[in-house]
Amino acid sequence: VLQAGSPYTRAYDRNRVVVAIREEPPLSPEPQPVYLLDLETGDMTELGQAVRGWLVRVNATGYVTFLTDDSIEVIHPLLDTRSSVLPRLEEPEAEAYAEAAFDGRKVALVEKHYSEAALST
Amino acid sequence: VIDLESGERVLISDELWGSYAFDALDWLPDGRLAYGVMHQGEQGASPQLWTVQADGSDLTLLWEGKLERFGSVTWIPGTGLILFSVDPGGYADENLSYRVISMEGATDKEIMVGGNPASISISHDGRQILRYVTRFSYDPLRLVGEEFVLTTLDY
Repeated sequence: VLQAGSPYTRAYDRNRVVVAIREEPPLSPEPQPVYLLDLETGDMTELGQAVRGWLVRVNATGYVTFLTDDSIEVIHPLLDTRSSVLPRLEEPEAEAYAEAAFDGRKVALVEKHYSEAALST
Repeated sequence: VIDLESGERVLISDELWGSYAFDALDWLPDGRLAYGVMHQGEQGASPQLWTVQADGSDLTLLWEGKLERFGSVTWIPGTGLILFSVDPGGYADENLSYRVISMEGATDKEIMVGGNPASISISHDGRQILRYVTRFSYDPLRLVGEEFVLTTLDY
């Protein structure tokens, strides 16, 4: 199911969007396939499998960033480049999201760690 | 910040994340990062909007609030402006105050109210913002309305 306009869809350029296919249940931890969808031709190019599809990011220069089960992926589908780096989360409960710099050479990573008290409530 | 070629990592901040969503961070076109944290001070936690170079230098406090939390922090394409949203209380997207501030920290200005911070979408020319707005009644809590709102920015 493609849910246009939701957090699962990001504008790429005038003719393309990046979409993470929504799984059921909506907050399923299963990885979600991420596609570059051409709105004119209907062509779909799979970019990878993202965890938490609503955190897929597209920056102003065309780099797409998302987390998989074990890596951060930075992809430029038009330049056909792909970089991967391990996030090295120290706690299994940590959540994270990442956003690539405009030149695609660096990525900002946010790790959210929860205290035991917060996790138990 | 992680260098994708060398793998070098630079810790920018270990303060409490400033957003109840995930979106209080964005790159700026000059290579800096803008991000929001909740600073733990003597008077309690306060939201702070910072900019910093990717190597951790040139740390600059742009804006500081009181009791709010951030929703999102986003560079507005084609401008020298940062759009950020702050929650005046509770967990209510409908009350989020969306504000703009210059990348150099000139006076901020509220431009609109309401909208899910994770669903904000800005046009490539920076002139229009699409928001997903929900409205609730609270006794009992239930969704009473939702809509997409397209706003043309005038700044």
